[in-house]
Amino acid sequence: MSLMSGASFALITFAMFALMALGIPIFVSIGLAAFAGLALIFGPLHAMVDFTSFLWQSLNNFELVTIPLFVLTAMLVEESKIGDELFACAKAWIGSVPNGLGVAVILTCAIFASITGSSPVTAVTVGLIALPALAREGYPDSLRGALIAGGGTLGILLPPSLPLIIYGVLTQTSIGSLFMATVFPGLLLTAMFSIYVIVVHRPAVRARSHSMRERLQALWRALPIIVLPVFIILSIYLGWVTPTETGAVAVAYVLALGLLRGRLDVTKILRAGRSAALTSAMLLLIFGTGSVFARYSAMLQLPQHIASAVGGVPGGPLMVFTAIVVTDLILGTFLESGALTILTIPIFFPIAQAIGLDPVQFGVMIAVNQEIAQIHPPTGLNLVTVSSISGIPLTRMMVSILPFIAIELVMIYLLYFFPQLTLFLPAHMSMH
Amino acid sequence: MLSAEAEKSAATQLAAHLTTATRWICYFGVFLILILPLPVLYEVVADQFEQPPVWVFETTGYLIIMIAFAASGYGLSTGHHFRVALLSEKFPALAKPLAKLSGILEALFGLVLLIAGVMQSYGAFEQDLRSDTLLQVPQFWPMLAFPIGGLAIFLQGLAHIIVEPRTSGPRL
Repeated sequence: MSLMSGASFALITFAMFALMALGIPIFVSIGLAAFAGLALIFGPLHAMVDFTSFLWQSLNNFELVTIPLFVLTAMLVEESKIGDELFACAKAWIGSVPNGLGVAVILTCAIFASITGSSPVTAVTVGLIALPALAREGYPDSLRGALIAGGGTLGILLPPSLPLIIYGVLTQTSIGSLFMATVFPGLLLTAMFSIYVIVVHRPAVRARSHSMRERLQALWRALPIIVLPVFIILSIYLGWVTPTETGAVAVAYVLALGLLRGRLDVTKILRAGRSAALTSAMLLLIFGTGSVFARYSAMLQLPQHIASAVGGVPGGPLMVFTAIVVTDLILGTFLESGALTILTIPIFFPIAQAIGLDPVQFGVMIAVNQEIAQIHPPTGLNLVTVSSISGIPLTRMMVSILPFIAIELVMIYLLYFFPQLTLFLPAHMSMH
Repeated sequence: MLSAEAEKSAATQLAAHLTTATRWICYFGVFLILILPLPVLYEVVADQFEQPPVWVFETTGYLIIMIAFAASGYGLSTGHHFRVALLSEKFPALAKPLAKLSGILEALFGLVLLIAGVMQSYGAFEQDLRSDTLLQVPQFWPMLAFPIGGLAIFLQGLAHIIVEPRTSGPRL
């Protein structure tokens, strides 16, 4: 890379982040920066041809169909309010253990995340149900907000994680393998959050105990919803269907369940379709423009230059990996997880390969890192979301969210030192 | 001569009309996303009978491109497109000029996409470009997604130049 092209890339990248900081929509900021970069190399007319051509190549991808399908599933789930039964079931079974309602929130978030693949959708849906219940049981505002924001982050990790779909498409890593690789870390993280809530947090709050009959009734009502994440994970693991096909089956299942239970009508379905189209457009445009920007940086051979420079960094792979974690965390505080994946993975992925990380393992570690970014004060998206739906000031959650961040940091390094946590299931699944 | 009040009202009306136009373009995307699961479900069933359809792979790819661009413009007015609102929240005096700047850049990006999209799809039409699959789909049809999206973003950007846009973040 010549000095001139290096300087122009630095300028374009700076301009892109400056536009984002000024409040310009992320896809417009990235798109204009990518177009300007191409125009500097080829001239404006040729840049126009290349811009749409790269956009076409990046978006015309069957695996990306998974995104609108799971977004539509999430919106249908939200409209049909089937989270109520889920939370009631978790509350009936574990509400009476110390801080059991908090654990019920974490479990509900985990199951919900395994259906929607979205962190803020999980936080909003579970939050609207659980925040008043937690308040009634005497949970302080700070813990209520942190529980929902922290639990909601599981949406990024557990399948069908939307950022991991983007990661898989970008790095040509099997999305099915990535989904399977998140199962153990996701369950482990759910357990660690739950243990923290039960053991560490004081004073402990106990909800009333439910009889076995009440518990079984609650389970019966929630069973059709609990079955869905189990189906998603099993069908991919056993190779029955591809992740994209699972998305379509999930839409059909939630639609049928909502209609059968009288929770969905034409208006709600249209509203879910509208939200899904708008949200998918946001994600796909960030993906498309980000891919054009990545192509521009690849033309300058930037990822290769950075990857080769990393080889000489003192401290070895662990230091390099920590630098990636810190950079991703800083950027993730301000950027949406899809945008963060698009902008950083073309740079970080060759580095990760250079330090010997498996693509599947690295993808999961990045997903956990993005979970932290979602709850990182002061602008983590989940914190802001929970604050806006609950009226709990952000400042009140800033301290109580720190243990959740610490647990996720521990998880990242567990995944670094024990790759089998991520690689075991993908190695044993039926179809890659 | 129009009074300042009448001018403001006319501008607001014009912005509302522009937003209505982008909303109707978005409805096309809503229709497409609601039918998107159907071909994929058909593929699941056909696979069970060992007769995988050749057209699902290709057509669903076109569908998502159309969904992305048809809903792009209206998403700017509903707050679905992610943006960093920190500066305008910390310094409310800057909110209005930043919103105007955002409108200008949205319109500029929309214009680039519109022109580039027209060039690309017209080129595909002129050269009779077809997909290299069994379907041999004329490529200019799905490529129309770019000028349609560009137009929607451009119109919504204009609406935001005329009246202040919403700056709330997305729900996802």
